[in-house]
Amino acid sequence: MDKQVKNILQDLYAIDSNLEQYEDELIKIISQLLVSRPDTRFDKKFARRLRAELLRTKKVKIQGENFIINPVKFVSQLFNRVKLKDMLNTKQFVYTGAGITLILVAVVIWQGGLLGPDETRFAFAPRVTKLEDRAFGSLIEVASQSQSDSITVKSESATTPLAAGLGGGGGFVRTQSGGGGDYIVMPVPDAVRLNYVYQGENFSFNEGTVKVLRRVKGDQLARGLADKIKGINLGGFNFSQFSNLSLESINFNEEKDYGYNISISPKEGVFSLGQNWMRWPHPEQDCNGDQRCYENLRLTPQDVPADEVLIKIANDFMAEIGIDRSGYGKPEVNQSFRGPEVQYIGESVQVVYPLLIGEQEIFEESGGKVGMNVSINIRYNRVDGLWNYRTEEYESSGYEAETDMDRVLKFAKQGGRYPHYGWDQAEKTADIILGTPSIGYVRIWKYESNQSTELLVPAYIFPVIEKPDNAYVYFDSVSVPLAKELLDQSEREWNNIIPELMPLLEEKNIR
Amino acid sequence: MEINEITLVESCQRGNLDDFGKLYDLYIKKIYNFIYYKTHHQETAEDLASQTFAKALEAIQKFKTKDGYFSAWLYQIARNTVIDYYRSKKVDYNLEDAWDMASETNIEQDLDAKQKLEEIKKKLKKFKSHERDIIIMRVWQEMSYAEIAEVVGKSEASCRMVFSRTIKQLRAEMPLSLLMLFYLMKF
Repeated sequence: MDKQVKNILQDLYAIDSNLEQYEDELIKIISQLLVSRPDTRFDKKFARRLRAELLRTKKVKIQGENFIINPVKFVSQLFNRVKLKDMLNTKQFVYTGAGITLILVAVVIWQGGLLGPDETRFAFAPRVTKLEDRAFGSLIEVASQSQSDSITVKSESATTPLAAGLGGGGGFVRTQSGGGGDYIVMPVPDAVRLNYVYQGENFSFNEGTVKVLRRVKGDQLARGLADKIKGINLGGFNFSQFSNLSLESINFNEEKDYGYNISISPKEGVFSLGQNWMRWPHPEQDCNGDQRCYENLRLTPQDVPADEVLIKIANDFMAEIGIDRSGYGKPEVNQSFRGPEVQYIGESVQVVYPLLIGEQEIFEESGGKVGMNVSINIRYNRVDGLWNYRTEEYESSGYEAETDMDRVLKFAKQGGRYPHYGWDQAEKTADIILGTPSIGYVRIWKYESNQSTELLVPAYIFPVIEKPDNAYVYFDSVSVPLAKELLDQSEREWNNIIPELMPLLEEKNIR
Repeated sequence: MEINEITLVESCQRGNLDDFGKLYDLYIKKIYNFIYYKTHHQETAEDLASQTFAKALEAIQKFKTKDGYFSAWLYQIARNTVIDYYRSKKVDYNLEDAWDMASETNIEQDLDAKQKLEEIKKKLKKFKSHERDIIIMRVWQEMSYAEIAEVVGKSEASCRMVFSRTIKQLRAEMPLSLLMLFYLMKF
């Protein structure tokens, strides 16, 4: 008997053993299903082409007209065989062309050394400029906006989406399916309730204010570069017709085996690189649908080299391309691939170089450290990506501090600013042991006028010193920001929340 | 969802779009096949897979890694894209995929797929779209129940039950025709 048929039968018998008496008929039904499977004609060339188009179109944007290419329209136009003249008739395409040309011009100029050294240098070393207190306005908007997609709230109008959020992913969520409108209840993976147990020492915070940092991006550099380019006559068209231009990004492809795609964003102050996908081997493409072939190519946590080996690969690579690591702490290998339920992993493992502001580390609210990431491809033991190498220029401003440590501990015992209990109705519990906190920064995003601002808020960082055996806990710390108004707002929002009404997908977001 | 996927999604959300390429590599064939099994037409499946990934790329900032699986989100976009496609054809507003389509319709389908699916379509047409999805994912896409549960947003147990119920229904309703067909194919 075919192995797949056998497996399916075993599944069926496990649910209803009475079915065994109909085995012959079941085999025939399953066999008919199997032989009816059509050849899907998956075309690898199509897949490669689409990949290249997706990544290219998303990257190209021009800020001068506050315009961003819509990849949906662009790609669907390409693949729906719309005539080119239709695209040319739209403003969108005109600016796409302008954006592409701008980048090409910038590459030529940059490479040619026509710009002065000041305009072409990024300030990678951390730098903080002090402003007056509350210079960034209210921080409450941060709490409100960051969660607006996740929950609904018990209120006069039951359908009003609240500017508050799930944060920890607790409870359960439900999602609306596209056509039928039926709801799917989606439990979190582990049906256990997370229970935070504090086993650290007493701690206190006696400062009246905390210094919140706001990251300053590279707008000036981006505009300076654009101005330089603007004055050059390229023939065919003249950049001087455009106003308020800003150079968004520059991309290079290293055209050799194991080459890289290098991206520089003057505006964001970010340097990153990844695989030049066309020049790296992709053995899975030769499997031609053979499941065993795919299985043989799968990598497991056991395939990952020792941490020292990974860190050496990353260090050597950065030394080779001249990256200064002085603003970063001791590198760590991201261990998330070692979860108890993880059988197979992707091709890459990340080495994280924690960013330091002064002596302090920065954390995401989800628990990970903020820093420069170097991705190591463990099939080839080569660096296949580097990101978050960026300018670290900040402004600082004082905000009222939370000094009630019982309150801080209360937030820590719920998993952070927003309750994160996993499956909060589950009977089983899983204890997460928290140790004595240290002071660090937590990164929070503030959304205003369709733009996001990165804020670093002083916080108590509670290390997870022991994880439960019966649940997968991916975070290594719980952070509680010490800006009082953030905690006040969080408490207000969560008093009235109905956790079970949380649409995972809003139709407008997935159509 | 593999843990590495969370890292990749979060990295995309931080603006590292190259990591979207890695997610794309993981899912392009699965999503294409999923769509093909709903459309039975290569060119349409390619168009809709393109739209699916373009939508995902555009909306990835809105996806929250703590709220659900990336795969579930991506399949949901694919499912809706297929539904939108059939609605745009205005053949039948309730049409969700090619399985619901009348045989005389003029929407394109690959000829060989059409012939191959002719018999099985009569049987599977009677089921709801999500029941067909589970059958197809289990038998044709050879996905484990854990993977299917992740994608359809139900528990593993629920997916097993749906699969079992559907097979039982097939057995109860058409044992004779299936038997005959099987023997015809065999000999």
